[in-house]
Amino acid sequence: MADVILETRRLTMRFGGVTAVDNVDFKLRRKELRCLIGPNGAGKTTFFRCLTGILKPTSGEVMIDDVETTGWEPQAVARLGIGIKTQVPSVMDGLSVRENIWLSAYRVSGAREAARTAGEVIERLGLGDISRAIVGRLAHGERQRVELGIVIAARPWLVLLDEPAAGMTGEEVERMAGLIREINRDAALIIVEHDMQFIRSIAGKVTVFSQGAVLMEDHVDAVMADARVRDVYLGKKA
Amino acid sequence: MAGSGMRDVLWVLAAGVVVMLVAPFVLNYYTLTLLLIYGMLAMSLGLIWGFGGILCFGQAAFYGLGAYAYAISAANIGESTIPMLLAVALPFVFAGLLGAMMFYGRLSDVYLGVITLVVTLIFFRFMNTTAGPEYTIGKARLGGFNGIPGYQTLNVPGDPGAYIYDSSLYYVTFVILLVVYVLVRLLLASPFGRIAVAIRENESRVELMGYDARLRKTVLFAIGGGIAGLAGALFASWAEIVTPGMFSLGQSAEIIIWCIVGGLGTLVGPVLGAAALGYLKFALGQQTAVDNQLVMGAILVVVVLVLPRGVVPSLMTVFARLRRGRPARRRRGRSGGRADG
Repeated sequence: MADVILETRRLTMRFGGVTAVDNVDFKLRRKELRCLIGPNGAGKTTFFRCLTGILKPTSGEVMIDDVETTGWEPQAVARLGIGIKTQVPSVMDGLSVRENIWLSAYRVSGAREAARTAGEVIERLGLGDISRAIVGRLAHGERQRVELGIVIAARPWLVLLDEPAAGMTGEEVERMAGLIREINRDAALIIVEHDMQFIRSIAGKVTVFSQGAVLMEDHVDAVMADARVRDVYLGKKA
Repeated sequence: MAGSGMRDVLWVLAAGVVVMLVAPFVLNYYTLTLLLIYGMLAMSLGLIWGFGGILCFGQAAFYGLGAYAYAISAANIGESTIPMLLAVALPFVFAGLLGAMMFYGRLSDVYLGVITLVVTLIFFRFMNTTAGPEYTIGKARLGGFNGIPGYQTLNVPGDPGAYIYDSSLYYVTFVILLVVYVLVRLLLASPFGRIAVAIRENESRVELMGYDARLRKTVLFAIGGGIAGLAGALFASWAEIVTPGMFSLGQSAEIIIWCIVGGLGTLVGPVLGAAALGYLKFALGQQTAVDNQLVMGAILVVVVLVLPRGVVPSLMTVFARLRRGRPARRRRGRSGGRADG
């Protein structure tokens, strides 16, 4: 039981008459890498937002590391040591790359330590050339990387990423996959993603959402071979 | 980065001292002191709006509260030291409570503006109704729209007979303004200040990093209230009367105009904006050919159209370009323009 670091029990989120997340039971183990997939509107992002505290679930529970965090404020969830990246890059546009990453590192360590951590993270993400640039002027892929830098600078043990590869070029996606594998050495991850190519490249276990509920949960290859999953995807796309 | 920031502070201080010594040759002490007080009031909004992203329509509430706190306590105590401290503490606490209510209640910017505006109007209305003798606090009668006259003005601490007025009030006010400027600069250079700016840039990201934005905004708002209160106390000492007019809508609007014209995202900008527009208003008040309000409105419109980031940030860009000797890249008005979010 102690091996499970994140669990939801009958998690439900309704918006008016729409049930976006419907009685989801979900478990994540230590250092696991899990992808959430599903067609548009399947409830992945809503589920994700319930985990991070951005949305307060209508009913059900969220347990993180045996602590019930249902309805907590995002900053309280983050303080447990959880790194969160939202769907649209959420960065501080008017500040430099270094300042963005420093601010995140400072929360978990002192000012001196934070400067060192920021330097390391910038190095690791290959942001050295643009570390003084104002984030608002960077390209989309660079901003995604800055946000990832913000996430890892806080040294989280659980990382939640909402569409980290969205809008990136092929080369950037490959780089992102490498980074994710690297993060996974120390931390568990939940990744919401559309890009099947990307999911294949990072492999691991996949949870398929459909109409707010979990359709199936298995290794990526098994999921891709499943007829129901194909139906859900193709049915929506047609 | 921090080093160059501190060098800028020294430059501003040096320029400030020069202005302090030269200005009395141009204008009289009485007018200059008022311009300094306006400058401090503008700086209080410049801090919370330009750096914290909190647009407060009711900065005049804290200004008036500081002035009334000073006047009432000075009338009772007969010495100015404790009243000065009260004039900072009371608006600080009041702004803290008001801020806590707004930020912990997660009110959006629009409602924040409305609430701060309404609070100012409530003070204005209430103070206007306190003409009766039942509105007396100790020896001080609130006096309704007539205000409170005849209290102890600023004196050398511990010596109620040694009044600080005219030229000495001018120098004292100038030094206080410079000290407040340096303290605010240090605050902004500290982690607290850097996180405050980050909240202005992206509040939800700051929360996802694990910081409590509500608490930090509340503290920043309270500090802005305290500085406005200090300006109010100096005004009370300068004018020797406080009236409900300090809480008026016009006063609140003027502070916002000073900040916009001077330039958000800087501290010097609002101070210079306040001093320049304050002087212009004073000069225009001496003639009847043009309406004062009309000119103020026209200036605001022109600045917003021509220099949307305000005068000081625009000048800084020009200077930076001259220093580098090549055309500066067009800066997106991030530092200032973002602030109004």
